[in-house]
Amino acid sequence: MAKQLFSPKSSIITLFGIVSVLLVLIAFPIQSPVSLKGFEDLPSVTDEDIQLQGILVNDHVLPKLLFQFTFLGQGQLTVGEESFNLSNRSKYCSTNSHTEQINCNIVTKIYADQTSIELLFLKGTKINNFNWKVVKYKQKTTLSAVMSDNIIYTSLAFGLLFLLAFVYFTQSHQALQQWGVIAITVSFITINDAIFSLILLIFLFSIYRTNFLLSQSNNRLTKLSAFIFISIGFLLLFKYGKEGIYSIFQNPGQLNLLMPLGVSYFIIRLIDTQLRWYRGQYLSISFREFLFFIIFPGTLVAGPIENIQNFYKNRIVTLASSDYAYGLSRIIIGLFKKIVIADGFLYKLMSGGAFNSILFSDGTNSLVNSLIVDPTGASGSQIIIFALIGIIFAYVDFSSYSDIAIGFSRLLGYKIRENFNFPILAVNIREYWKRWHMSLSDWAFQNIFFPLMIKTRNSHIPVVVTMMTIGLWHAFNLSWFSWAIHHSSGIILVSILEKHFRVNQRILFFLTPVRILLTLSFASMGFLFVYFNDYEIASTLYLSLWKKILPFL
Amino acid sequence: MSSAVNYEDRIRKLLCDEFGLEENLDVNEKIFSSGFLDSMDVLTLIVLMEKEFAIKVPVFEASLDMFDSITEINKLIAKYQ
Repeated sequence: MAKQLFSPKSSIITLFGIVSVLLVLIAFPIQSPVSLKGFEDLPSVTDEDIQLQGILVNDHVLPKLLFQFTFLGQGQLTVGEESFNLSNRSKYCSTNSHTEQINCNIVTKIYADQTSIELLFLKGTKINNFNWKVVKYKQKTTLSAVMSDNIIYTSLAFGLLFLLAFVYFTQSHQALQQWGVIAITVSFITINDAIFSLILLIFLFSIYRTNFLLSQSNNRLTKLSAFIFISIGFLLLFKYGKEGIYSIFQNPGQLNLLMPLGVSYFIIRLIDTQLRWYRGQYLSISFREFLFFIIFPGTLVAGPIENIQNFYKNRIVTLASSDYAYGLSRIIIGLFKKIVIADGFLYKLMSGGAFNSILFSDGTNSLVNSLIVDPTGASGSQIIIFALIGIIFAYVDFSSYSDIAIGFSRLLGYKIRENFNFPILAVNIREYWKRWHMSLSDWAFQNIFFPLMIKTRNSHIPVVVTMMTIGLWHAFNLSWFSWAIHHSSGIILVSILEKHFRVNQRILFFLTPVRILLTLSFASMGFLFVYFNDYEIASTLYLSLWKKILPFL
Repeated sequence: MSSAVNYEDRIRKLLCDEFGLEENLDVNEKIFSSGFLDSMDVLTLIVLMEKEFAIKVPVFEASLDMFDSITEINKLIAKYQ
């Protein structure tokens, strides 16, 4: 089997690239979307009662914050309308028996864009430490606003019904149907953000033109200028589109898919189409067909990522009643998974509420808050139970979006590929990645892993780069970098083990439940980096879990 | 055109020797998408084909589909030889 001609040069270049990414991530951390002003000069000892006013500003997010105080004395923290007592009698505080210092940890959620924070300390209070951090935040999106606004919600529902009716009545006129659907989708984006919509259309049209140039020209300069043009377009789109993009695209599985590649899903479809053109495939497509594929409303918001070839191959020319039955039932299944299982049960289990008093409650009244407040003191079972519930939540939540997208697309006359194949039943982490977000992992396999494997003549380095790309596509930060290292190490380890140890199939079969649990636990450890936006909390929990599993570390 | 040359038997033999596939493997049988071979085996296969048929597989033009059956591999060899 030693026929694999390892290419040291390209492998070293690739590894160098990975290290450079890490250095960039450390040197230029992404600015927090939340800022707090007003507590810069907190006195260490108060000569009289003091009252400080601060203001917390957040940029299109719903943050969860942790305030930490260590002091001797008494005070009060007010966040918006909510007040927290800072004293040894408060349920948020504990007293150190040696130093008698009071230690308070307050976890609170912020909903407004600007929130006033008031800090009050009684005379004679000695303040040793004051610290705050953003533990986690959710992006605000138009869809989340839509859900909370009845008028927009109703008009969106009518808009969707209109779209379905239009598709039904124009089945025999494909061109008319496609232009109509494009017009309806673009109107929706335009109502939301007109300039973004305009830039988007110009950008897509330019890409369409330049790609023909790219595939047909042999002139290096033409190719180079086309590439530069496309890159500038991407940059402009990101730079301008930041707010508009945040507000249009949804965040399935709460994986923070929006940062900084807000237009993540259609960028992925664009790259796939470009590479097909580059290979000389699918060149005869018209601008209408290209545009329709890229902004197809069924998969615009949250995938699955279909490629242009299968998209048109699986078009249903005449919708039958069975298509309607299938589409509607997938939407109903999706809504049930999202509303009842994910949000109604699993999310509450993770983030607080009645269920948590059955599990681990220590006055902070939720499992996640007890991990946030004291990540070093958390027990192994607490961390892993949280991570397992978390990853099952992410799976149910994300796959519910895919169910709805697949169902809705069917009603529009397109059979879209599946995105999940019960990843929670995978028997190893490699198989897990063949079952989780399959449309993205297939895309990454074809467009990143495969070319890089041919180039480096190695099958391990491309795994790292592929996971790194998937991770940093979600958000360009250290958390996703660590997530990528975690998952790629697992995949490489499985590959090496499979290659060198041939275990009896029957034994493997009997070990299936254990393997499923191990795989899910491993995947859920990576989820810790995804869930917490605060890297310190995520890495502390992650490392402490490894130390509990392998005590010699 | 070298496409007239048929390497199907040689490819089948290589697949049998290296990966232990059936000797009567059909030329159109999908070897990756039906799970006979794992996607990780593709590198071994590429190196094997490159050596045996003196071809070079270009980095961005290749895809897994091009190795998915004896017929496809045969086409690939004809294209890059």
